Amino acid sequence: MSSVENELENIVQEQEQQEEKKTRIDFKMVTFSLAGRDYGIDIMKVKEISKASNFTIVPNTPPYVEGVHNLRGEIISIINLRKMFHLTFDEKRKEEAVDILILRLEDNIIGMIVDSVDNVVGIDSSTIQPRHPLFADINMKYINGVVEVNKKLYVILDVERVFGMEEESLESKAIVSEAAPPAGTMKKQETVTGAELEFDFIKETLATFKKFYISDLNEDWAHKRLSEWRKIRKTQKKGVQLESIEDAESFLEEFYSTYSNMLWGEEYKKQVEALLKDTKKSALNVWCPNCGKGYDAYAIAAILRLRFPKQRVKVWASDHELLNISAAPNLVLPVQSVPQYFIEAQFVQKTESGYQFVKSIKDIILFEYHDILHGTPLPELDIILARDVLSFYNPALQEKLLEQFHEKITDKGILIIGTHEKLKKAGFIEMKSGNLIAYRNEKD
Amino acid sequence: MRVEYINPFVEAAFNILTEVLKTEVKRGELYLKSSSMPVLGITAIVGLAGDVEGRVLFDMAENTALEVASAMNGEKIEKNDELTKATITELANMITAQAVTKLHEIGFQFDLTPPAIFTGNNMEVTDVAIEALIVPIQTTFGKIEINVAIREKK
Repeated sequence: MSSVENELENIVQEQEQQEEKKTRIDFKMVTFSLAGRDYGIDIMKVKEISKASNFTIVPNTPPYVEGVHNLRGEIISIINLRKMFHLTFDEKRKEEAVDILILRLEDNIIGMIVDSVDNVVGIDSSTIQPRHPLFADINMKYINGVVEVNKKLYVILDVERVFGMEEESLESKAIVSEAAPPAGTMKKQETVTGAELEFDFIKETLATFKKFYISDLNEDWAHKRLSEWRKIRKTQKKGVQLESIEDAESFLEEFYSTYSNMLWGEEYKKQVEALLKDTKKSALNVWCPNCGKGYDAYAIAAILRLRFPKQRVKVWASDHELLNISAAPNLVLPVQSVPQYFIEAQFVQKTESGYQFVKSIKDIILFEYHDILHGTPLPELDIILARDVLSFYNPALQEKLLEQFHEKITDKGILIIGTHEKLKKAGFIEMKSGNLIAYRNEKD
Repeated sequence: MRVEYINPFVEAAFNILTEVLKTEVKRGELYLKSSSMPVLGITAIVGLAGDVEGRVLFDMAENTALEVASAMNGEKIEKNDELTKATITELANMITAQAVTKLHEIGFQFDLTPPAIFTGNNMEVTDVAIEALIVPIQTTFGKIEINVAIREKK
């Protein structure tokens, strides 16, 4: 073979190889780093990369929105990705320029602050591996997949989901999943027994009369309660079924947590205290969703104030019942109902009508008239105190609220739910303190 | 919305409306809203700053606005002109100012921005990531809705 022929063959081979290589790259992504990890975003979603500073702050926005930025005449919102995913961040000076990825989404343009933009990497989309919880510090649902390029792992973000999430309304989801079950129940009916039917009936009537939903969260309690209920109703010579709101109320009497609608007694206080670890944080944030008249909020405020006298403690307490929540800031307590630790610490003072809380404890708590289904813009929380809250939302909303809790609580933060509620969900680790069961949040 | 803020607005609205309209005024059930809601026709907006950030909307149908303006000016006003707009603006200002005064008395510092007025059909108002408290007020002239969306400054 002559050398010319040889060379020709080589060229042809090379071309073939290149072509092969070319066809293999069908997905290009812009890579960036955030909190020491590498992420990628589909290049088609990226409008441009820029550096900017001095954003204009906009009122009434969630904490992760840094403000707006004028990009050659176009006003875009700037989002701090670290804040959005509750990762630690240094409060940068306003003038300091930061790396911004400007994304073109379906219906708007958004700027996203990242630690640094790296480069553009082309990959074969078939090498994208399914998402895996170990790879990222951020919520699984925002991840499209994971890919390895040049021995580096990139987590591919699904930006449409990240920024589209807020608009997904809770209600529409709820309706969908409520409509879905029939298929499952049909199947069950083949083997349904009398007792199961009775349980299903109780489930239905509790939802109708008291908006109480039996789910994984409280099923254990409901079964136990039903067997008690059968005995009680037998002695009363009444049927097992719940025929009125009063019946439903007396069925639920046993459900409410210990010290519900009153200040926590010494023993419960000790159990909660045992859950609290020493911390160097300068501020502790607590949220009491659907706090009713605010007893739980006052109790946790007092406990934290005593335990962490030097730290700043802030309790957000909200309820969607206007009557309850308006009573909360000026709650008057009958003398005998105030536990000793409140009196000793002088958190209450005697008035003509009974004990009232002093300003120093009231100032810790901010009571709000608020519906938690409308979404709650709060900073990262150390504790969420939601006793007997979730059971009063349908299972789809329970799921959604728990996701919200998981996102809002810091890593290793605490979630306390009702005495008769039990969480069976990944991301929450059970912690026991006496009879009190609480959950430690583990971020994936 | 912080509970302490609710009453001052409800009271101020009730007091001022009873005083200036000299007619029967009834307060409806308060509620929270976070999705978009239709605007009735004529809307005055007053911004709030200070300890909080937010705004108050006073929303009513055009004929309600005309009747309110007539009652406040002591003469029959038939069309939506400068005077009507000025009157509704003034009403918004009076109610918000009284509410802010009441809030000041219980220790909250609020500032007002000058009111502005919108008119038009088929308008909607949407608050992103903040709920609005709706105070519906029924008068013999028609419904006036007061829509308060405020929140604490971080």
